[in-house]
Amino acid sequence: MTLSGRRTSVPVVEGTVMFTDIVGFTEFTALRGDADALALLSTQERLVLQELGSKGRIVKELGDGLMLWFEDACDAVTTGIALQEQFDAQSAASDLPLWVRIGAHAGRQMRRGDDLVGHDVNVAARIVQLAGPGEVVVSEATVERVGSRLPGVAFDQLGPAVMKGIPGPVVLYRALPAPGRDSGAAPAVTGRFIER
Amino acid sequence: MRFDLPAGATLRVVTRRGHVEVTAEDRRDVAVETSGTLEAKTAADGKTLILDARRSSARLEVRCPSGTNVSVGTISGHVTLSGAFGSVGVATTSGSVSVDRAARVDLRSVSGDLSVASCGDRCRLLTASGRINADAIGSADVCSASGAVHLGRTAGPVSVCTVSGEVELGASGKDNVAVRTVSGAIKVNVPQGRQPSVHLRSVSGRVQCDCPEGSDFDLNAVSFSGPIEVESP
Repeated sequence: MTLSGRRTSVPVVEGTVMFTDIVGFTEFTALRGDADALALLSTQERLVLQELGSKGRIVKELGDGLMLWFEDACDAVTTGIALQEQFDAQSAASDLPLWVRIGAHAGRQMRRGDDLVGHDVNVAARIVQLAGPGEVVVSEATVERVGSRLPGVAFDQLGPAVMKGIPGPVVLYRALPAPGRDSGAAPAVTGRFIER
Repeated sequence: MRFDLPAGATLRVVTRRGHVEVTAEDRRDVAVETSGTLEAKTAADGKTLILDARRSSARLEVRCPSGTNVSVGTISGHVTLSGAFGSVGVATTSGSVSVDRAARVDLRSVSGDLSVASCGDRCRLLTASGRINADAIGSADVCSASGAVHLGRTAGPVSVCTVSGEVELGASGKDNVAVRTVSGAIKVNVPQGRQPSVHLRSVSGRVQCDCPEGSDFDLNAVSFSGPIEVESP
């Protein structure tokens, strides 16, 4: 509806929203100063852009985190896992504590300019709060959209999460490379492994 | 109220607030006591009993067979699990979680404290501002932002990460230990007679190692400003 009461069409997209969040960014900034903090953010963004390619886009920057969008849930999951490997390698090779947690949820989002809003965006934002550094935590809806297309990825069920402002419980999974996966190879596209 | 629970099935409890107490004991069914509203159903997979108490904030007491796999989701209710469980998974926003004994544990809270008395295998504990306390655990993957972490005895590889929370842990003496903090203090206790390969680095904190070095296991500890201390009796 517009202010004048006329109904307008709302552009809706279907895809997977992902949030990244650097753990300890505030403390790191206080300790090391703004220049090092900026370097940390720049490193995160560089690695994200590198991994993202044409598979998704950065919707917006959120202080020490990013909001990403993927049309295909498989791209979201594989990019999340690849990012954690990159963040880990970068942290090991430098003084930058690139300890990032990642959460993702597949659903419908409403376009608002370049931004995306809506219930499913809120769910993704809540999920990242329950992820630990180095983890990719996704909703059951994301796992269902991946289906059997990622045999190189294991989904470890974590259980239900009840989130403030979200009516129903969201069953969460931890996405990680499946045992025996060749880390250099792209995930193959059949089968799924869910283990508790 | 009583419910059948097939062997190997998982018990899933969801609530918004109110204390959740789950007791594993020598029995075959699941018994629930609450003064609030409860919906019970079996998931489509037929192997998960779902107890949904989200419409109520009343205390929920659940009794289930020993060894049951249990997962709990809540916003602010405290969660207490007494007895011996299989896999345990709890996600909460602000509630604290306490687990007696479990084969595997995954506890997540934004601000609640997490406590595990005994975990035989993998123990994953994550909280932002809550404290973490675990007495006797297998492998551990632990992270806290500002809360302190205390791991009494570990019997597997340990990885701990905090931002400002202090860390104290007892190494197994044969499995690798990795601790990283931004500003928290780190203290690692090494069993008598064990000699780790030690890699300690603090940019501005004091580093002290009173333990003979060797190659029994790798001990890595990194802090930007916190002190690091390795002790052996």
